[in-house]
Amino acid sequence: MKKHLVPIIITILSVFQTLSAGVDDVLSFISKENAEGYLRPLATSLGLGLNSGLYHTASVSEKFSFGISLRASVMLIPDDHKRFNPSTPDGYVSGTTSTIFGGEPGYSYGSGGYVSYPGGFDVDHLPLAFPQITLGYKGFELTSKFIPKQELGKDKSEFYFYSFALKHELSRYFKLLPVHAAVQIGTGKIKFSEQLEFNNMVFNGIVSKKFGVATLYGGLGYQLTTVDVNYTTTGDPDNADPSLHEAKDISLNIRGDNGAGVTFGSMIKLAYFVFNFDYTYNSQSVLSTGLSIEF
Amino acid sequence: MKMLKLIVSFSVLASLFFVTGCDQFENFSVNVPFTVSFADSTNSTHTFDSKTYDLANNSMYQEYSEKIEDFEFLEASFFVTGTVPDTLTGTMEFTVKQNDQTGTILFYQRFTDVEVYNGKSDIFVLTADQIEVFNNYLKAMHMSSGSTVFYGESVVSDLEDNGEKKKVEVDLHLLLKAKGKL
Repeated sequence: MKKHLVPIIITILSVFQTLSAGVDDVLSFISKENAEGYLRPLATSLGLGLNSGLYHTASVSEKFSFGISLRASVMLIPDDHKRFNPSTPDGYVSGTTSTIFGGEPGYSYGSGGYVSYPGGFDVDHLPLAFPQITLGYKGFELTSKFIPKQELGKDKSEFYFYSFALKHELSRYFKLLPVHAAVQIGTGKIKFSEQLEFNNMVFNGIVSKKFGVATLYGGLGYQLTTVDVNYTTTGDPDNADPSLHEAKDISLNIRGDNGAGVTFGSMIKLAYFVFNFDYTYNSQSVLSTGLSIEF
Repeated sequence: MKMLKLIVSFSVLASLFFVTGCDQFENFSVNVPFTVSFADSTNSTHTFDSKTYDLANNSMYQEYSEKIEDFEFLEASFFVTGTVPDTLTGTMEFTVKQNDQTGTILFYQRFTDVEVYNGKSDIFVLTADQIEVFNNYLKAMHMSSGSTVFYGESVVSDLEDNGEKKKVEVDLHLLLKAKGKL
């Protein structure tokens, strides 16, 4: 398993390095007022990705259990997450322009010339995958995924992420319940680059029902993802947007749109091997799958 | 053994999932705006001013020039920022050339019988041939020894011949679009 996990982890880091480099490059010419609208969909996606695959059943073993899995998710980006209404200088009027997931860069025209807004990266879906470990005992299950601190790219940007979630099966106290039920709370962080750091919390209520080797499960969840953004604009005295004339250090906190959501899924367990697939309805839909070895 | 093969297949599939995700954040497009300001005063019937502009001095262009793979003309407009007296009537002509006064004309636009006043603005409508010439010049910037300099002229003619002082200040705004890989 280690032999297969290492190339996966290397590939994950490559994705984040590319994503980080792309985002860092475009921030230089974004005003503080427009950074929020531009980046919010990314906060939403990464929060949803980090919170996906945290469970595939409400049942938790009484005995000590251990599992290792590979989880893959894809966030489907809706059209309304590809556009936002930018803030414009006095005297300017603009229609919507691209978010980081949108396409062509937008612009508006006024007495000072053309004010340009950054283009997006034309993203219809964002795939993520993580290795994950679970430990269970007496109705409690700890799920963890993480990548230790790395230095990525030419400028050695610091990157790491971690996510921990603790699930407790409530149905163990109510033996007559026809389903298994559990609650779960989780927290996580992605240190994306020197400019972006994501923080995340999730609360899940989970139910599941076993049918032979198969289990159907569902959950109601609430997620809170925020991103701390710190960057410096390139001072451009000729820019038609006065807020970009001087180089400025910009700091802001952006909240993702991933609030309440609902998940439906199924899993099949054969001996020690578990395969699951689920769909989450949220501001961005999420398809998630996983392959686990559980003892 | 069968399950191990399944795990390997899944791992490879997940990795491919990522590789496609990698490419998404490499392709970028960005607008590069710049402005050339003209000003002239006269007691006769026409004004004239010329300026050169080196795109290499543009902050946006400097940021992305090494990553640009495609460069094209997007839009151009003029905006009058001041006149003496408050309103003039005349013909406005704008010419943009490569490099200098003797360079190839990239585009020429003429607006006849125009009421010229502070805030007067209009957009240039280029022909397909003009756009092609402009785009070829932009693309040549990225070949060896490609020039990044534009030369512009602004003429306001057919002004009233009353011997009084007349002044026109006008900005020529251009917007280019660059595409490339980060």
